[in-house]
Amino acid sequence: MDSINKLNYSEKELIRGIIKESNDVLLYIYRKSYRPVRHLVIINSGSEEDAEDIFQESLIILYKKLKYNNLKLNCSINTFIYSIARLLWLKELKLRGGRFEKDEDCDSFEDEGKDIIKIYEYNERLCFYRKIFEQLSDDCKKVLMMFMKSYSVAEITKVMGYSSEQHTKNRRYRCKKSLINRILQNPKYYELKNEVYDINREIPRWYAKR
Amino acid sequence: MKSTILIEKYLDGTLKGNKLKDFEKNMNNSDELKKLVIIHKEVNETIECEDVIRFRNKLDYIYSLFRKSENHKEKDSVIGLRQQNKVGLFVKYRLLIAASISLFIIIGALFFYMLKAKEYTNDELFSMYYQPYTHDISRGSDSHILSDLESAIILYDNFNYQQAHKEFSFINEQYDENYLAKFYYGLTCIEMEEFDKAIQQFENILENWESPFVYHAEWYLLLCYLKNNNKEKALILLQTIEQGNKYYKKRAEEILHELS
Repeated sequence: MDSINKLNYSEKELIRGIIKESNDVLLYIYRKSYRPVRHLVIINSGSEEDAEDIFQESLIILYKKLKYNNLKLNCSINTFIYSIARLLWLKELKLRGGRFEKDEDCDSFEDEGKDIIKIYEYNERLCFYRKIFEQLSDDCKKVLMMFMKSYSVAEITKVMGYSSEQHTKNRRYRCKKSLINRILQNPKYYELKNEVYDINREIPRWYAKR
Repeated sequence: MKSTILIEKYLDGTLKGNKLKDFEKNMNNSDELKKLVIIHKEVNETIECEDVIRFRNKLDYIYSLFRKSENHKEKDSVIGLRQQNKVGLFVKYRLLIAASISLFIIIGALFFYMLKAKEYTNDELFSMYYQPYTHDISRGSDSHILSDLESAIILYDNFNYQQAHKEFSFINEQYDENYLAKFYYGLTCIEMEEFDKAIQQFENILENWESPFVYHAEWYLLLCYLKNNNKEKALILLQTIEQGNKYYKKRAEEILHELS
């Protein structure tokens, strides 16, 4: 059930609400935290639309860090969002060749900074991959999705009505190859800041284990 | 095609023995192959990360709500200002203020119209209204041994949906008539994007269980119908919820409004 629309939430309630994707909590966060971020972006050559994008990306990073990285906050949610937004906007301004005016918040946010930029860049890539994925045929999308959700080959064969399990496997590989080709042929891929280019780094064995 | 198969097997963890060694050796000698492996891995994560896509869609919706409420505030403050100054400036410049207010109202109305005019897809409606189930009763860490069902519910509450999904699936196989387990199994199916399975659970609950829980089952069933683009069934269920579901009546009205 929804939490009741409250005027104030404790930090613990906010964290839980973000992970639970509570509409009330998210709206509360917009009301509390959006204005400072908007101000930061606007005084630093950004537009309303930029502010909206930066705020949304900050919330997505926070959501992922809370849900998957078990983030322990040592500041308020409000401060954390502002700090993420500041970092992201700084990065964006550098790309645009703009200058960053000093703002009131002097929290350097060193420890989390690199990590946050990495998550942001990773999110950008995932968004791009997702768009390409959506261009595949419905059949291909369904097969790849089911493989990722750990359905057995037998189950997928049955659901998709394919003639054999070998056909299902081949279908998966063909769909995947088509997806990867579309990604690599798209100029946008080469515009994204890409960890993939750092190919000198080792790929650890655990990388393959999902 | 051969490299795709090898990469996928490597990422699945099904490449073994000498084939695995050879593959890793090739990877260490070929930047191109290494790059492909990373792309494959990230693409797999993209396909898996449905929750982030859903969250992003939800934020779009929340932002539109936020803008609506901000717009209301601005409108109220303009009216307040007008009342404060009505003896002085308002009399002197009443035409100018009236024109500004008219303009503001027209812009406001246009803005509202644009927000209203946006037609949401069933998928977007799902993202806007879905959120994981939260029960009213908080569970303490009692010292007694927890039942399988309670342990699985705790897993769900702690967002460990994958494990909870396995546990509820197991409980369902053992106890076919445990409808609470079916309900939670349905919820974890949603998290795992297995909407057909989720629908089976919730439909079964509505047919066989007399409990206040059916209100929640109805709601999540509705969201699954939306996600599966089954508008016909969604509309029928929406009317039921609108007429008799004390928890979700208001939201059902909103969705009915969007769909009509």
